[in-house]
Amino acid sequence: MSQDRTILVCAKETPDTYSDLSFSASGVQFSNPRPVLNAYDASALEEALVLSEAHGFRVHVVMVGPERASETLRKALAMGADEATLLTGAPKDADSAVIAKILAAFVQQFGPDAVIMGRQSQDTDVGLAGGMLADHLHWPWTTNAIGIRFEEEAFWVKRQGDSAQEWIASPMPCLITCSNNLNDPRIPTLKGIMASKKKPMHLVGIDQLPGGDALSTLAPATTIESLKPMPERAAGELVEGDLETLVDALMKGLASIPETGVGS
Amino acid sequence: MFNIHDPYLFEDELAEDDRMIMEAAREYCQANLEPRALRGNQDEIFDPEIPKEMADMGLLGASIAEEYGGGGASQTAYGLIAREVERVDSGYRSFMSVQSSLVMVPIEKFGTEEQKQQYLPKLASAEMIGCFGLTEPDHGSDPSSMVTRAVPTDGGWVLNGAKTWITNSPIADVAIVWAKVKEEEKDVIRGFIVETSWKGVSTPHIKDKMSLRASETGELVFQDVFVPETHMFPEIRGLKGPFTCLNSARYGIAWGTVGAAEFCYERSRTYVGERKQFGHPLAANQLPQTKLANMLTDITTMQLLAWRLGQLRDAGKVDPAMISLAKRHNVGKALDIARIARDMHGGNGVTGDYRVIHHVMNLESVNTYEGTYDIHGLILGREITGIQAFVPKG
Repeated sequence: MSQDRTILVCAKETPDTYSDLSFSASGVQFSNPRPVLNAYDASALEEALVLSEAHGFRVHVVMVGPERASETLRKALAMGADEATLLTGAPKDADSAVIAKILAAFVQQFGPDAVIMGRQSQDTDVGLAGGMLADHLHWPWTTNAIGIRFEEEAFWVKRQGDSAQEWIASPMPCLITCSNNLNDPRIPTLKGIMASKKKPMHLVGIDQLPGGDALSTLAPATTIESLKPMPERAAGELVEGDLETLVDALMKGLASIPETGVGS
Repeated sequence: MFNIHDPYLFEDELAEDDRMIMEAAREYCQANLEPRALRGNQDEIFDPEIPKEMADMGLLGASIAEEYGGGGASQTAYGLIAREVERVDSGYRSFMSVQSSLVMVPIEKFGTEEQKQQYLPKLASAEMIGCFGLTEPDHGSDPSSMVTRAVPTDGGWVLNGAKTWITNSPIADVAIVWAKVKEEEKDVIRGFIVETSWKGVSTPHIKDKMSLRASETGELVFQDVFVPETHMFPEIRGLKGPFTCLNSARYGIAWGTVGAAEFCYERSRTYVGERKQFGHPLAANQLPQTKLANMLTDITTMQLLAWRLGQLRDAGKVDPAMISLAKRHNVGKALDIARIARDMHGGNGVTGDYRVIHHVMNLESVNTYEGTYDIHGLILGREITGIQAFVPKG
């Protein structure tokens, strides 16, 4: 197959999960201010690169973010993607709904044969953008991929269930959201990093996309009321005494848990 | 927010390429080298897969020209790689430094086109391992007194002598050897590319090192070794040859020891945060806090020194004394930090598991090799006073 077919990988940059963080009125701050490529999207990209090596797909990576995000996108090029597009000018408070609409406009204009992306981002763990994008595109969507192969003009997606695995065949074009158990994404090599400078990276304002004017003023579907650090766990109570005392204390403890307090 | 790993945010000042190379090297080292470090040190294992892995990542000859299989990256990138490798183990960094700076650099700088074509791509891909022979059993800080000698013969030279403390020699395919030859009645130091498979070359392993145990160290012994004329560096004469290589490696050490110090600081910070005595974490006491503050202050000076030295090398504005200053300062501070980290870990600090004593032991060698702490002091002293004090006046 020649490189006239394209897999589009949608990627997001997220804060470094190994970074220390602190909370303040202005939001969360990270000791390492440099964002990283979302690990789930890195798995999606790795799979796209493997499919490309076997079947000759062209791999294009798209990201919605500020101009500074080009460094994160360059990592995708350094890993081996052929081309990248950074969509700039999204509203600052963009949530999954806004991002999905922007990506849908890009995909409709670009016309890839498949979209592969992480099932969620490692910072918010929301996991809605993929599903919303598939809905906008009216494309078949396969979730939580732990394996992908390309056969008979279809993407075969292996999904993990509780007790079994299933293979689903998706005709093109289709959208696949990936688990991070899919693979071990490659580390960019020095040669890959140097070569990435010569690969095309397009900076496109979202107002240039179809329906662009409306995209830049999209209101998020969600609002964050507050952001707080995880509450510290209350200290446990140490009960000492004979068996009867211990059982008694345990029964009292169980009775004091509200019905809705466990497993709901 | 104050960054407790990079207080003056030098990483933000790096060029994008350099920062990407740093992050890729960090990812490789933490994922692939760190898990091997404890056993590598305890059992004196240099995993033979490591050279190929580093080569595949492009870490060998990172700043050598791309046309010879190198990475074409900046000097700063080379230094940042050394920092990441030495964060794990100075022994692994020693392997990388020797291959890149002491073997590939002289071939690129002093070699003929044929020599470059023949050796550099194979060294970059780890198809060949290299070593560097300058130090002799009786001539360490004073290499100009070397006794290894090459005498002319039909079509080349006959080499006799012995070199010691040679990183990589037991696993090397090729050695850069510095030897004396007679030119117009005078002894002149010349450089040769010697293959270890040639008749008369042996590379005995040095046993029972207590430092850099995950790095192969040995001797190079030459008994009537025939070296073809094509294997001599054509132009370079005198100590300028080996010192050019050493300057490159010493620069890498100035960066590498930043990584070793950062590792010891980070381990200490974690340890005193978790370890409780008298009902409170050790970190709640003033002594551990000021020890950590001292470590971070020193690490910051080390980072900024290495970063600026990298800029100067990239701009071609380096004087060797600048490298002496940074090598001496950074290794000395790293060794202090490692020893204090060992102390802060109490009894646990002597076990391999925490790996701080591993760095203490390694840095004892790093403080000595590639110009001892005191010799670099004398290089700086000569610059400052205009008087050389290497040769005693007594």
